[in-house]
Amino acid sequence: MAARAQRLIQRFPEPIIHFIADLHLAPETPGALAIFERFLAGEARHGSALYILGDLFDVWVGDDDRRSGQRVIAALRALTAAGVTVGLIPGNRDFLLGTRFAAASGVERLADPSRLELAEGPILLSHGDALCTADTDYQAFRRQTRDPAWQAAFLARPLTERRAIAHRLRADSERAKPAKSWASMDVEEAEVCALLRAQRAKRLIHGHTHRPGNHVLDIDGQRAERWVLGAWSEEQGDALRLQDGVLTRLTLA
Amino acid sequence: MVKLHTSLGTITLRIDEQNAPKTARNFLDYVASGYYDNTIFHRVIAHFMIQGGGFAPGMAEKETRPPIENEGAQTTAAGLRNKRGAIAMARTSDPHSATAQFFINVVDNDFLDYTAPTAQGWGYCVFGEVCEGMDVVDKIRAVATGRRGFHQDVPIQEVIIERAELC
Repeated sequence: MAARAQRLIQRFPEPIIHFIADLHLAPETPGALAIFERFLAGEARHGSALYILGDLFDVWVGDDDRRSGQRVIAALRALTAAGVTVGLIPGNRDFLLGTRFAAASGVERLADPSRLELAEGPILLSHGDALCTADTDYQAFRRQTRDPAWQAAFLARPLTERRAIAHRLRADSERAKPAKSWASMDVEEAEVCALLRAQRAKRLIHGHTHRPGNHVLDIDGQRAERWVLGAWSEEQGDALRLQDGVLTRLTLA
Repeated sequence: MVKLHTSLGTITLRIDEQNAPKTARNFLDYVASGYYDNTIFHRVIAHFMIQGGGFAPGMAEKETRPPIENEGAQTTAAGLRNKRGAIAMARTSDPHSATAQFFINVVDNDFLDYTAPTAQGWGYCVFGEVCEGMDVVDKIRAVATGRRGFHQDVPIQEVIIERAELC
């Protein structure tokens, strides 16, 4: 029997924890919203925590936009009121989710990356866009938009103007995609390894790339894992469940 | 019956010696020897369970007797399930590592029941239920928790089992 001190701690049973990302909820996607509401009212309640790893919303131009997300906030509020911890790492579409959203939903905003401390070692959680370092244009854009001064200036603009800017940015990004290589829009493995090494972690869960999978990495001779959450569609959602230290993928409908 | 006199009130447990003979005997022996007197609920997860029976106040871990066999297969077959109010044995990742620590489910946790003799499927052996004092259990699950050394979900204000009584 391997005898690491931590193993002897009677931390079992461990609660179930769920992870989701890239739902891209919007008024135009009622199917995904319905799957989300069913998941939050059902399966998610068997867990003690739910972590949303970015892009819950397809676009978020400020907490004062009352047109967006009222049903999503209500569903999250019901889940957090039932005692389930919900943490959210903002994504590249909804990084403006702010304190008013957090207060209304009961959701805790988390840093990217965040560490989930477990008996068998930490799991790192990230949206994943910061790891796509080959896409230098995007990284420059990311640095600009994550700057508090830029955000304050943006949020000071009228709502209609913000919606128009967001719309334009999205159109620009869609237009730029065909010119970018498939590889440049994925995470950089070296970046992932550096992050895991620095955090002394063996597992990373992220979204963003819309390329669901689980990859085995070799970090200095040690096995590590990168789990990628899939994007949601109108027909189905993707989630990971952690139970007693083991990750399994769920398809939600 | 076993009464846990805690700092937040009394929890009365019905122990099922018939369906979980080894697990029940192990627990009752710890009770009879006074082992649980002045121990704490050291792991409280509001939407999951409350765990205690292994630490003295100040998070001082107590020596235990050898671990027992997991009787989950037979107790699950007999209908003992990890539902709200059920008491079961805590353990490490080894299915047969339960000693003194136990937990009380505060919600229905079907996924903790035995399904197969595999690492994931062994489950957690239920050996009794709360028959009085579920309000006390709910008070305990509601306390504020934090991190302490290797341990997470530790009540900030200690919840003490002052005395465990056979009756």
